[in-house]
Amino acid sequence: MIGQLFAWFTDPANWTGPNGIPTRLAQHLVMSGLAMVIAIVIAVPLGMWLGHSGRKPGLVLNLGSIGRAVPTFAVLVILASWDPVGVGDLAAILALALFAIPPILVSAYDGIRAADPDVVDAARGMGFTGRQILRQVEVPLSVTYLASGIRTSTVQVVATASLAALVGGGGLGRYVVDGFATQDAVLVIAGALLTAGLAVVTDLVLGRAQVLATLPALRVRKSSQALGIGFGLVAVFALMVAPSALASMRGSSSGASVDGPIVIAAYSFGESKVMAQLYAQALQAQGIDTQVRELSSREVVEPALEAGDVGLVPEYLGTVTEFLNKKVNGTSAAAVASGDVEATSQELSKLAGPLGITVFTPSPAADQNAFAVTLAFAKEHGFKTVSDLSVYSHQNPLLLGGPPECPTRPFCQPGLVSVYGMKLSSFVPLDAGGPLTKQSLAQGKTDVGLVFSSDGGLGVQGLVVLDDDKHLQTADNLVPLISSSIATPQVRKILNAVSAALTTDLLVSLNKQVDIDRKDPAVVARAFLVAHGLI
Amino acid sequence: MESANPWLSWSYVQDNSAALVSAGIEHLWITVASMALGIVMAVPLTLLARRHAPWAPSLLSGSGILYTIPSLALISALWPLFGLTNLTVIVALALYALLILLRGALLGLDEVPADVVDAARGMGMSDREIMVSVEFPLALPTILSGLRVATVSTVGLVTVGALVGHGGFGTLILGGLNENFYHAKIFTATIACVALALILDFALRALERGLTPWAKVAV
Repeated sequence: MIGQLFAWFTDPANWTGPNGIPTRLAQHLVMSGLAMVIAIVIAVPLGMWLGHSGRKPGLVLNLGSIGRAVPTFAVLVILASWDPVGVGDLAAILALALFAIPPILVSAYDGIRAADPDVVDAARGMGFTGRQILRQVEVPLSVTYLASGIRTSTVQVVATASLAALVGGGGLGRYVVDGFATQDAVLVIAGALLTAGLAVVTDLVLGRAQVLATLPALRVRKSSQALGIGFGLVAVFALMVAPSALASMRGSSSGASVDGPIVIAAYSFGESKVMAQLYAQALQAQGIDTQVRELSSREVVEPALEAGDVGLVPEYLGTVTEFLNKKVNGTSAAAVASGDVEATSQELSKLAGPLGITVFTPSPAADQNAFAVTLAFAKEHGFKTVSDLSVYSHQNPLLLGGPPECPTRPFCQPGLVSVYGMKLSSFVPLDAGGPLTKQSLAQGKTDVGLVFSSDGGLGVQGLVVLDDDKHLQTADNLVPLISSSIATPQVRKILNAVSAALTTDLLVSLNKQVDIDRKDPAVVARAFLVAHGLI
Repeated sequence: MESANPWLSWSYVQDNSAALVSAGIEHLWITVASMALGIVMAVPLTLLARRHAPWAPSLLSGSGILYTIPSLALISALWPLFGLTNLTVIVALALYALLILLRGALLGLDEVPADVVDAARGMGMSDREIMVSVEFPLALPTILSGLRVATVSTVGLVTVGALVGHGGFGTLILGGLNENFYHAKIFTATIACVALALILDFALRALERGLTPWAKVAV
């Protein structure tokens, strides 16, 4: 693990380009810096004024504790899903600024309140006006407090800025989120070490600045912190590296527990949630206990399925077949999935069986991966097929948006490049055919995006799917993958009945009910099962 | 046509009350378990730092550095070990809580006047008796306010657990983002999360006042 980390940090490829360390570091600094500037501009004058006037002490103190109670993650998601802001760095900058305002406000307020009342009285006695007292007496005295408040907030903002990557933003958090999505432990740890390192450096630099900002008479000599920093960095490193090392020693367990409820994984988009609910409720109706868990990507779910942490997952036939093929036979293995559902299903069973995973009968309903552009863009240049777009891209390299795992998936970036010969200027990691990818396309932040053909909401957002004329995408029929230890004949019968009842048209209508009409996936699934006599 | 997508929707709350309640229970359980684990780890470390006083500043600045690991990264790093269980989130949050608790405990114990400890020793009390019946009660206000700050920030951090499917209200928030920006779902879960934090904050303040009636409750 340590060797792999060293290799990652010394690989020149990780030091250049849009996903290189310098770019991500710069994005991280710009986001944190802008957030701090906004927070300081708002919070410092306001806090000082409130402190000087002595008004509303309760308000300031309550603001401090309410500020702590509001999760930054929630603020980030709210801003990202609010049209005027949208996904990306802006949402992160504003969320971080809101995160930093309460503590800075409180420290500015405290600083002014801490100014010695005798000194203020003396100044008043000398005939200073309120404004002069504030500027020449209270402010210099309060700088000590303020500097410490700003320093603490900045370090926290730098550490928290990683969350930006969850809503399609950049920065060092990108490595953590992408590493998690692709289950690349080295990438996650590298991202964490870079972020922690940046926060430590920020703290040291600001600590130096804080000493300079403090009135000489008030400076306190602190004992050397070097030992503590060294100890901390070692602990950070151990904490990040040890779990994966321990986990690899533990080895894999033997399938899902037969006693507990069946844990059904749903990927984080509407269709997968409906499918998981269809399975869950059909099983529950026959007295089998289930539990649905929403997870991010196949790279996360598949090992959990092997280990038995996940018992059942709605999968896409062609995509999961190639995923396992590359995992078992190496990344350069020849493709075994094809447009033939029956043949692909047999290949999948051969790959999954030895991993303790059983494949049930695929549904006639399918949801291909597809590439979409805006309707306006397609009309302007007369694009009908992905080949049309590819020809255009030779003169005008395109910006591709898709899930973080896209650069390593044969049907995504590598397929576009090798099968279609498309020229891509860069890749923007967003989500798996979800709102981030679609919004980014609609707003012109990306040129082409990976979506799902059964998405009920493409038309509404002015997007159009281009025809996959070179058949990059394989037969992606929905198919239940289940841990072999719980794949009883009863479960098989129930799930095969659900699969048989579903068609692509029905799937599109279920998706529309969830994504556009905003019905609860559980409610939509129940109505379907009742209508088809499955429960 | 795109349907209306309001931030506030009472019908969302009514239709999804079961999901909200179960998210709330998970959120509260993860918070309580993380705090309990944090306290269990904080006690021996505090005693260790007291016994070896020269280590205390290093322990504090070192633990400050641990706090700079992004929650996202810590949860991702613990994932291989604990997998799809809520332990992944609980262990991560317990470590963050530990730092705040440790700081509060050491600060509180440092503030105990040396005269009082000397007097206790003069009365023939053992080290253990001094810790239990003199230093601990005098440090209690600071320890309890550390506990309160740690609890409130843990409630917020639980949301990040959504990454591994155990985020309480955070799972609804991330789910709402992925369901084509379902505003009512995102906003309702956020309000519920803030409310939970404020309720716990209030309850712990009341506890502080009850246990340490002589102290002025700090913010």
